[in-house]
Amino acid sequence: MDTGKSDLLQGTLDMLILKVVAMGPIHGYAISKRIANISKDVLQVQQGSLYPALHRLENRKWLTADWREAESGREAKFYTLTAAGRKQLEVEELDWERLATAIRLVMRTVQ
Amino acid sequence: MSWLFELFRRKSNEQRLDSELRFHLEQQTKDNIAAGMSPEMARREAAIELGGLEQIKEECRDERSGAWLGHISQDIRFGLRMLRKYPTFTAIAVLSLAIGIGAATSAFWLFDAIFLGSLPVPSPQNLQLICWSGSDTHFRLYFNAIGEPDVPGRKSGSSFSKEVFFSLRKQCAAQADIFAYGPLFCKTARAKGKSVLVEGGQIVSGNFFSGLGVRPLLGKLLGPEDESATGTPRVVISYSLWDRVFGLDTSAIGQQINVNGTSYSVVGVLPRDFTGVNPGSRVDLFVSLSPNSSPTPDMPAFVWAWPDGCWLALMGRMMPGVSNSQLKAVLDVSLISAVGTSITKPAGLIVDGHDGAAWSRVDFRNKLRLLLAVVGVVVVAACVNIAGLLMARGAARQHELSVRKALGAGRWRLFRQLFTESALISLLGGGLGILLALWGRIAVSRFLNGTPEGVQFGTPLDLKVLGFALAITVLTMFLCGILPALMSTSTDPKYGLRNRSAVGAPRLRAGKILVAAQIALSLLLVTGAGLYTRTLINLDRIDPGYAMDHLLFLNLDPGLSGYTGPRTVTYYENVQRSLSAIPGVQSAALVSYPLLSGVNWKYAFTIPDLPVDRKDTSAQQLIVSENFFATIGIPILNGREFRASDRDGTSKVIVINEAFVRKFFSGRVSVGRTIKSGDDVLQIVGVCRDTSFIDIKKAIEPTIYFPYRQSSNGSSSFALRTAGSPISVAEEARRVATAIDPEVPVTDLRSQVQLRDQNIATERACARYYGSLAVFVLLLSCMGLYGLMAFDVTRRTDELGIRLALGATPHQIVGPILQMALLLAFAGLVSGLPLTLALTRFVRASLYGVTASDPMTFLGSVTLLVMVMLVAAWIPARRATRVDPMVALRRE
Repeated sequence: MDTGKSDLLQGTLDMLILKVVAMGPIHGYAISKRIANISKDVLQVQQGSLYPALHRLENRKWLTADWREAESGREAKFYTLTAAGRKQLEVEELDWERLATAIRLVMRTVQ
Repeated sequence: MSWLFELFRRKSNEQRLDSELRFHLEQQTKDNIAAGMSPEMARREAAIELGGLEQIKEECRDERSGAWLGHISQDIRFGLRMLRKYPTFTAIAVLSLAIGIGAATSAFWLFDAIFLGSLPVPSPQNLQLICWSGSDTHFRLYFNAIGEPDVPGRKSGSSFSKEVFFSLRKQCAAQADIFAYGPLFCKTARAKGKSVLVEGGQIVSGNFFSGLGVRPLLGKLLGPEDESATGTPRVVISYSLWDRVFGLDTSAIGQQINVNGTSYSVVGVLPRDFTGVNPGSRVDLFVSLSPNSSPTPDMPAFVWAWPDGCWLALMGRMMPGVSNSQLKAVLDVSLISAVGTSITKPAGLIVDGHDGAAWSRVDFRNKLRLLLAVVGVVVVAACVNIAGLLMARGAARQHELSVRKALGAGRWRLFRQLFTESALISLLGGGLGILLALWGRIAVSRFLNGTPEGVQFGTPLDLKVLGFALAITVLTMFLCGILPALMSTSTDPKYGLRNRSAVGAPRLRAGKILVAAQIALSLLLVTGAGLYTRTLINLDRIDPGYAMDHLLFLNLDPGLSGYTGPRTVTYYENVQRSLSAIPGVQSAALVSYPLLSGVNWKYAFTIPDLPVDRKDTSAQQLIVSENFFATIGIPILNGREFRASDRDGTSKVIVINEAFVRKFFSGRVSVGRTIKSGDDVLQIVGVCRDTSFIDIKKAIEPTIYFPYRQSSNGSSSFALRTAGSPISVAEEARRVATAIDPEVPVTDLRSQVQLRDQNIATERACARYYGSLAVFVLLLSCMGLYGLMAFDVTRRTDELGIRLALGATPHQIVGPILQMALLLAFAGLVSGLPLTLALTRFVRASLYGVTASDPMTFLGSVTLLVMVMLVAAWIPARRATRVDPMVALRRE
């Protein structure tokens, strides 16, 4: 396992989760489905890392969770973005923009 | 506090985590079915996509706050369960650590009490000891109060006479408050109508307590007025004496204590932590310096008042703002006028006195250093042993560890788990070790000065000692825990799962190294113990020049009850007659003090026609009655022994020993010659054989025997030659002696063998102490080797089974196992020999009749170790030949 790569992925995964949860309360399974859908199946969330990430974000008070009835009628754990989470999302979006722009610039120049 | 909250919510958290993941699986399965899979296929795919359920759970738990606490408590609970599961292993490991830690802590405790502490007084750093140095000295009496500070090329000392003390106190008053203290040997002490045991007494100057800054616990202390007071002198007692004699009753104040025949009234009690100013000894009573102070009733008071009779130690409390060099300048000048001709070119010497005079306890320091080194070796040996055991157990647990790894436990987690187990062992061992130290302290203090009472010190178990114990415990934790935990968690689970029996060449190699190290340490301790045992045997065999059994001594002090001159002689004659008449007593003789009791008095004399450089000299003196030589059994080689007619008024006669003849008369016949002492001219009438009567370990010194009727003396002893056991007549002897005059105390009833045993008590204690540590370490190495071999046999059960099935003889099985044990023993011995040779040098001084590199002792230790190791290896080897081939093959 290459740790450098997983670190980058982990940070990105956190941002993606925050972004998806920002659209409204949602449970873990739906988060993985939605990320796959929106990215047209390019981003396959490793489910092994999805749940630890959710617990991490919850522990950092960026997400709160409560148990509600899902569409199937079963009880499921729904995650909601907190005010701190929203702020964190903005910070990460900004960082991401900056990074993406920088990478684009480099790629274009070199071409 | 959220982590605490989390901890309590753990249970429900676990359930929630489970249902969250279960929900995920259900959804995925449902979606998969919707996508057209069979239900079975759908569930399988969903499970594969999610990955290891337990692993995800573990990662989720790790993300939660408070996880670390949960893990630790979980680790501890699991660790305790494992320790309970292997009670024998746990007991051995905890006990061996406890013995090591206990021994180390008790040794450190004493070291701390004597060398690291300060006197329990305010601002001890302002206390200085006053000593002297000079190019030459001439004293009529010199009692070594503390010790000799080291001054290259000059004589030095720490004792001063009363006169010099008074002069220095006056002249240095602006620089320091100088106070004095000297010994008070309490030969008899009585309080409340019965005799009491007094540890030690001191004669102190009036400003002693104010100078130190000690405050009384009860009543008041001695003051300057006591130095010249008339009437009943006053005494201040220790807390210990107050407890033992007066039961901590405040009515003790005003009561009488009689010491050496003088009555003192108790005026105060000292605080519990104040046991005097000399570290390692306890003083029970303090009396004031006065014009007729006398430390011992054996010598008349005027001797202690001689201007060149030194027996007082001086300590000073520096005045604010005065430097040591300022005090020294004044001291140098004052000494020149004060000491007169007794010290040539005198100079003052200021020595740090914050800890009393701990530097002077060189004997204790060396012994304690050696002891600390030895217990250090013991602790390391215990750790090495436990590390070895843990490693072997880790290998045996390979299967369990692999299963846990496969189920998602990380290596770090397993490492922590194993380390927690060994840490628990260390902590339990440390706790038990501190309890052992409470008891071991007494053993160590006995070992230090070789008396049953041991060294006295008031330091309770304090934070420094506890901190030391804790530090050692933590050290052992890492010494025994890290390596086994690292090794046990390094196996690939695939490998571990496949092989039920643990295989791992590197693990066994580490185990071998540990066992060899243990054998090396054992060699060190076994050899050390061997050297002390040889010393003890040698001491037991020393012939003092007479038969030691059937000899009893008792002490009488008629001087304390007012006997003087001819009355004393009559009294002694009566006692001798009565004692000789006791059934079972063959003869009784007077002698100034019991033989081999460590007491010695020197007699200064001159020999008129001797070369100048040997003119002024001295010899041991012993005052005896006429039948002394016959009673003890010392042959007279030349001339005659004393007669009852050698009394006051007749010409003075002496008997000398061979050593005297060799030293002063070059071995020539000397009967008839004379020696001089002051105005006395003494004629030599006999020469007797050399006998050892002071210290059996030391060379016999030139000795002069005096007839008691011609010598003034206070207390005396009687030697009784008995037909049977000397102790059996002891009570009768006491009764008979008391009957002559009930006022004269009869003390110190001891047989010659008891006195001899006391004389070599330190060596005996050393042999016993190091011997038991050596046995302990030897046992540890046995366990280590046994464990390694047993593990090896278990590991190779299958292989051995097959070999047996194929027709291998037991001899072929046992051979290689014993060979390996021998190889290990050899490796350990080879590495241990230089270490042992290097370290035994340090005990050279305390050995007798055996060199530190005694080949016999070394050979003996090596043989013993090899034999013990072979036995330890033979048991598992024999088990190997009993492997049932069928069982082994079926397992395969």
